[in-house]
Amino acid sequence: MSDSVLRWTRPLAALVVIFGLWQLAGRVWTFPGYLFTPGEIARAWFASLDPETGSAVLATTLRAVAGFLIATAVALPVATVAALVRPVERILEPYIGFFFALPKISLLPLLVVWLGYSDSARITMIAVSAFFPIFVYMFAGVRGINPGYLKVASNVGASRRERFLHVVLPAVAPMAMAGVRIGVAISLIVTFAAEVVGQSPNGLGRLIQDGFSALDYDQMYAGIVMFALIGLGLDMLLRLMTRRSPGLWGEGVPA
Amino acid sequence: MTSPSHVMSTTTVQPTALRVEEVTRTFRRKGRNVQALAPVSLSIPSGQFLTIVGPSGCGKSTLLQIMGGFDTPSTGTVTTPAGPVTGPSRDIGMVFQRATLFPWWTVEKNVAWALRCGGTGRREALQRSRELLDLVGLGGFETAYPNELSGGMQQRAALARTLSLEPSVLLMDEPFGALDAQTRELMQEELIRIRQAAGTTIVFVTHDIREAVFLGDRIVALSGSPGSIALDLAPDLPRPHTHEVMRTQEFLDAYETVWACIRDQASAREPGRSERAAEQDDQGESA
Amino acid sequence: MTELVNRKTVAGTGVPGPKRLTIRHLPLRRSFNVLGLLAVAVGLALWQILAVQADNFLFPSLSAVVEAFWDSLRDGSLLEALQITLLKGLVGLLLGVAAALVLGRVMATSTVLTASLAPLISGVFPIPRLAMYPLMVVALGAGGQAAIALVAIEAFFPMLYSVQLGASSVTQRYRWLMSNVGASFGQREALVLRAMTPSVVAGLRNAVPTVLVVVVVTELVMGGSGTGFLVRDAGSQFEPARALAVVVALGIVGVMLNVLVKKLFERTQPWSLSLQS
Repeated sequence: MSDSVLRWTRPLAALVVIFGLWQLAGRVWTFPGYLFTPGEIARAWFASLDPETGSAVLATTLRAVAGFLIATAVALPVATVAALVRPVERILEPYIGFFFALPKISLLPLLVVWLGYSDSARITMIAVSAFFPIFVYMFAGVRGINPGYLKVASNVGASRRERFLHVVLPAVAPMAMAGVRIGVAISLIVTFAAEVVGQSPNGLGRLIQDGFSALDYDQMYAGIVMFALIGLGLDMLLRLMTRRSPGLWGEGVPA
Repeated sequence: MTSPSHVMSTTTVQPTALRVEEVTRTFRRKGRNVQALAPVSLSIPSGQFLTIVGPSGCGKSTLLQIMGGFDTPSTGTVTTPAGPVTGPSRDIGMVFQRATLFPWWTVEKNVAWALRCGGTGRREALQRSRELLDLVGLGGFETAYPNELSGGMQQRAALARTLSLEPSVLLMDEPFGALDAQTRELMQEELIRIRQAAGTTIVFVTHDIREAVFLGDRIVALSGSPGSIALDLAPDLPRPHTHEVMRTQEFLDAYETVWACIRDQASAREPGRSERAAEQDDQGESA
Repeated sequence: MTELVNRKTVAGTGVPGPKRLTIRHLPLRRSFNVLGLLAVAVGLALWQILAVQADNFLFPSLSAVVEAFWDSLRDGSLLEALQITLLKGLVGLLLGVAAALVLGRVMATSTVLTASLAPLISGVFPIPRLAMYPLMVVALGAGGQAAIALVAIEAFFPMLYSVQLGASSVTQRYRWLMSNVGASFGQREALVLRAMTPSVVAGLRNAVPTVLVVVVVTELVMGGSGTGFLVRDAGSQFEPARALAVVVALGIVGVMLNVLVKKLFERTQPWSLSLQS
């Protein structure tokens, strides 16, 4: 009991101490205009809570989620097939190797040339970037299935359907989820870049960039905080989804 | 399929539960063919508790995998009264070195799933699962998750799952190898009790000679490599038995016979040769 | 199925032994991927044929990109841009790693400190720190400094996580051993550093690709110089061949960096055979 309490209170206390020291430093020294104290950040954030910011948050979230969903929908099945069918793996190997190492964001100016300053260019960029980590994790997950599990399944005479739904899927779930979490984080990073470089008419990237042009620090800080909140919120959502099966995380994730 | 009274005796003529005929196995390793099994023939009467013992790398695990249909012999056949073994089936149950329970289900669901795959209804499967867990001494732990159990308890649950298949032959691949000495002895006595109750034919692979002699009605020693039968022994020990039997002269004699055979084989082999390469152990699971 | 088990067995048999394991023992270097090479050849050929058929300057052919690549290599613009990008990345990475090493080592000295800070470190993982870039430009100017600072921050968090993980692998038994042999402070720290090295290098495997992405993004956003700027410039002048040439160069550099870190990992942890991806 006290252990689980400590698990929460210690980081919380550390957070309070860090922010407290930061705040205190702002009192002692005069910070330059662009460096806010936690209090000033909170005030700027509260002041920004209006429909306009709301629509920016919505636009950014939708973009990130759309790109991320496309990436997931393509990566999971393709990675599964590649992990199970050797020739497919062999064919994809050089392509995956190259594009995994390539900073995909450098394709953005080209996408803009081809698709214009449009959401199709921006969302394609997000999807392409999020695809690779999800693919790599899913591939490793399917490859890493304990062969003993499959032996047990054939011993008990499991049907194809039972084998897939009851053995393969749960065995892969932890790794797939790890990849998906990274995919979400990448999606958000790329969303910011795509909104700024891709000349988005709306979204948090636009908001922050406008704040930058007008040297409106309040707006910049509010945008950054909102971005952080979206990231934390989406991640928490994913983790809640996986919390449902307690046995899932005991084994199965290769260290 | 056999009455418990027949189980006691190995000398009377029994129908054969499993017949291994001239089975060999050759693996390809780094472009070279490595023979893991020389031609091996074995006839296992139904109801018999056969132990296969040998040093690591002698091919005993490979032989067991072939018996269960998890591996295909390079030449030779494995047959049951139902016909030749071509792949894994519910008729031949396997308990692996590691328990290999599904961590995403409770213990009772693990067992019930095996029953459900055989077409048992949901409610009945759960009911039967609890009975089996009771049989292996896991009553009260039905709703625990595998990672909440000790290694011994996990292996009990795995045994319950395999028993739920009601196999005519039960194959066990060093099932107690990962357990500590005390748990191991307890599990051995437990296995004898369960076998007494279930009356299944058992083939049990181990590298522990004491374990082999203690458990087996009949002990086959394999020597490698390639693995071949070096000794086929049916000592006359009082049955059913507990670890008390280990103090009897009969046990010590049998132990000495097996040990002498394995020692001779070991010293006859050239030293420093990689034994591991020859055996396809279940090491994939321990990775 | 059997093949899969066999492969795992080969990898799994590598119990720590006296023999020093080299890369030839690793399952990484498999037979040559003929099929993959063929797939690349087919892909490149298709690209060339389709582009020539389309005859549209927006979809440059392979030969046009190769030509652009050669041109930008010869006039020095590509190498200069790569140099700028990599230098910013390297300086930022070093700063981030150095900070992570110091803080991670300090954190590991106390369980309370670890318990308090470790959740915060993993907690910032989903936060897109890139959004702070415009603010950093205000603070540090549009030159390289803002990019370097951002790279340092981006590298710092995953590295801190790895360092702290590595430091916690230095168990009580090591400490007993060290006091038993009477190791000096310097000798102790050297041993701890050696014990941490594998996880530090493992952290680098994650950090290095991220670093490259961050630098390129900053160059895309602010322009000025570097590969990101070069791509943006070529794109805005509707010269997709030149832009693609830079992208290809970035891909090659990325692959080379990955191989470099992988090699480093194998050197520092020769006993670890079960490498993934």
